[in-house]
Amino acid sequence: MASNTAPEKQDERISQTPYAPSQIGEQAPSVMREDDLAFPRAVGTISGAVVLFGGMALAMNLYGYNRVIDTGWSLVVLVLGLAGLLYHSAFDRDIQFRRLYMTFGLASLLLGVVLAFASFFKGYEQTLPWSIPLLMLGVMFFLCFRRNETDEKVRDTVQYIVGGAGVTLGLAGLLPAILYETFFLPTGFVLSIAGLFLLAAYVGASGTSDDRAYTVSLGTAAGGVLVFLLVLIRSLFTANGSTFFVGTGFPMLLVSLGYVLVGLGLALDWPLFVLTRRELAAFFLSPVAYMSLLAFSLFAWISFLFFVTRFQNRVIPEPVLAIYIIDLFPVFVLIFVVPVLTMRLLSEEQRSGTLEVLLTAPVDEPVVVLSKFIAGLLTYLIVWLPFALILLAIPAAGGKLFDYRPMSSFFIALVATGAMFISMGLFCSSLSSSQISSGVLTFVGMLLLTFVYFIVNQSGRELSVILRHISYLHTWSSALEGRVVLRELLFPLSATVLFLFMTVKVLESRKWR
Amino acid sequence: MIHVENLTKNFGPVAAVTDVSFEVEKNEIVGLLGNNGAGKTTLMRMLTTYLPASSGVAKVAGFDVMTQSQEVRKRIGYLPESIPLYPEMRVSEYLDYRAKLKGVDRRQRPSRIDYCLEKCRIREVQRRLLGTLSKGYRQRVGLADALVGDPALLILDEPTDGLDPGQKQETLGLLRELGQSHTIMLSSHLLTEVEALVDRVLIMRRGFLGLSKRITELETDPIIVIEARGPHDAMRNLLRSAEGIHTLGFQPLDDGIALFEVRAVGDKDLREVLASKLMKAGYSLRRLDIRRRTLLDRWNEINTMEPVPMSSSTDTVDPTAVSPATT
Repeated sequence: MASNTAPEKQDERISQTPYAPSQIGEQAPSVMREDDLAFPRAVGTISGAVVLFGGMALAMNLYGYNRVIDTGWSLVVLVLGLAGLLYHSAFDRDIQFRRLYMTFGLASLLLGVVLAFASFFKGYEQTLPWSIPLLMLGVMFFLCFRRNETDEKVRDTVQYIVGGAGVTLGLAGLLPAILYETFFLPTGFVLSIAGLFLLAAYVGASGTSDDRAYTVSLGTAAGGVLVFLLVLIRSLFTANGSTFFVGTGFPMLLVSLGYVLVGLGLALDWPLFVLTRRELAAFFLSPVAYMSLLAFSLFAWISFLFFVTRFQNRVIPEPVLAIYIIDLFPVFVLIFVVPVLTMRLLSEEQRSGTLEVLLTAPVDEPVVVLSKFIAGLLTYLIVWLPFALILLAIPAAGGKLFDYRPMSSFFIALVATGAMFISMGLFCSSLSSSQISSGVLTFVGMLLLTFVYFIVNQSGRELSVILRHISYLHTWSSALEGRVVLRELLFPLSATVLFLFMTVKVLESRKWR
Repeated sequence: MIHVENLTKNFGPVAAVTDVSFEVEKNEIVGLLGNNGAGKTTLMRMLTTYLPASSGVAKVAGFDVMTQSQEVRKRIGYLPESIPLYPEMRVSEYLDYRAKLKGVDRRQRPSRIDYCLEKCRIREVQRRLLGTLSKGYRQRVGLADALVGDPALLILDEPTDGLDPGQKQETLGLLRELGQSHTIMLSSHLLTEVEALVDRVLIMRRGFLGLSKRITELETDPIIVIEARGPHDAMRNLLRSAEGIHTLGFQPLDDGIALFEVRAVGDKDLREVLASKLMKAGYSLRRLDIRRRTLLDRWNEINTMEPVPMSSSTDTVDPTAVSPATT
């Protein structure tokens, strides 16, 4: 399919050897049929109609004509229709359709960029929220188009447009924010994240064996480093630097760090990066990540409902975030999700024997363990995203903004304690080649760590001082009050190092058994 | 390329590999033979640095597998017996990932992967998920993975296992082609195929190395089979008096016929000498035959002998130690 000439060449060469292969050339093991396009096309047709309907309903709502279908439902209909169109565009290779979707994707991409920039000007701030879905839609249609397009010239041109848009958005989001600190949240943040997505889509579409994509990827990382340094200089060496850091600087540091990590992560082929990419892919190519995301979304939603009804018509005291997070549901899901995320990591490799293939390639055991840990931690953080998104709904429901700044300190605590959970799970996973037993071990570990919270309140003074350091819920609650206490992060971080060290030793133990 | 000296591996009380020594030169194809459980896979795992030896030394390309394992791993391509693969990846993705892991240069990577897809004849399945492949295709993907880093040494654990006859021919042809510029060590159960492919044979039995010879040396020490009629003792003494006799086997058959199996010193053909001696003495000759020993003979000899440790570090094994047919 990919090449019709190459197998014939091979035949000529091999037939000189005594073992002459069959003269037929390589054959696929099964007869390959062209994809049956009837179903995607039907979906596409219906979705097109649905999109038109939803779009019209939405437009009428915006101008206040419609009372039958309200804004919420028309958005739901629109999203469903667009999902159907994406499905069609991923499968239909027909030139008319793929070019149609290309135009559609480009249009929504450009509109997204225009709206994002329009929000700079006074009176047009409302356009920013609309640019995000448009940009995402553009990227998705681009990826579908990239998959089906056969004309290299067209494909490359569209790809450059996507990359160019990424660079523009990234620059526009990050650079002005260094000078105007109020710019970054939310406009600069949204622009720079969208830019990063576009850049990643550009690099991912052609792979880093392509020189241009490789350069873009390294350039992304370099840009991130530059912004990181600029933010540091601005925070440390200028007047009112510390206020800049708390409001704008810290999130900017995180975003620029994201640029560095994504840029390097895509470009470099160090074993650590290669393995981390594979582990991340393994999470998202299997149902594990999606099931965890679903669980977290569901419980975030239930938790939100409870939260809203509990405090209906009452004033919620600050810290609002602490009351929202330290609750039965988030902790409950967490105890289950951590074992689900980590039980596969090493157990599966031991059971299926892929560990042997992995450890006879030129990689060290510490690199293998570290890559699995990083991938697990990243997935763990991604799984928390639904909670972060629902936080946006709280001010909408309450009609009032709450103090969102503790999110920064909570993020730090979440990473530190998450590192402890994931490394514990990884260690349990290294102990057994059965996923179930390593999952159960991790589950017990999570239960113990959670119960410490209750023991603290029951025990005597001396003991409770010690146990407070172990209880992650105490760490969280002090972080949610806006404090970053280094000595409270010390226990999770040192536990992480210990667990990772022990995991490496378990892997190496096959050498002295 | 491979230098193994007194290599031993124990799993607790189980002696998997005992005191194995051999030498493999560059661009040699080596066949590692042996029954199930003879220690082939353990030996290969030690050479690939996956398992450490209990004692002894193994060197690949001059690097010690224990202390310089990273250097060794850069120079080998390994196909394990069960071909473990990640079921959720696609064939081309997997090869791309393995190429990156093995440090294939970014610019050469696409052409290198293309080469492997073509050589191992898996181009047609490159978009398939590894979990959906049949045994034969898994085998070929594993081989492509071993090849992708262009290693100097290929260690292949039963590379033709589970392939259909046509695929077997293709794979052996590919190995022969690769053998011109690579050192290949492969294990197999198929004696005839190994005999036609390899330059050197290693036969293992219960952890011991029973034989390590170049394939051209296998046919030395032919056995001369004689059936003659006459007084048995007189004939025995007569044959023994001939020059260049190494060992003489004797077995009385029915109606006065005696069967002799004579092994000469070195590669001498003593058939005529022995026949004329018997004829001159007036004994009638019923059968005169020379048996060049095939790989199968060697295999049978080694697998019926008492497990004797072969401690010699040279690559020729004393023939008397492995001959049950002689007295």
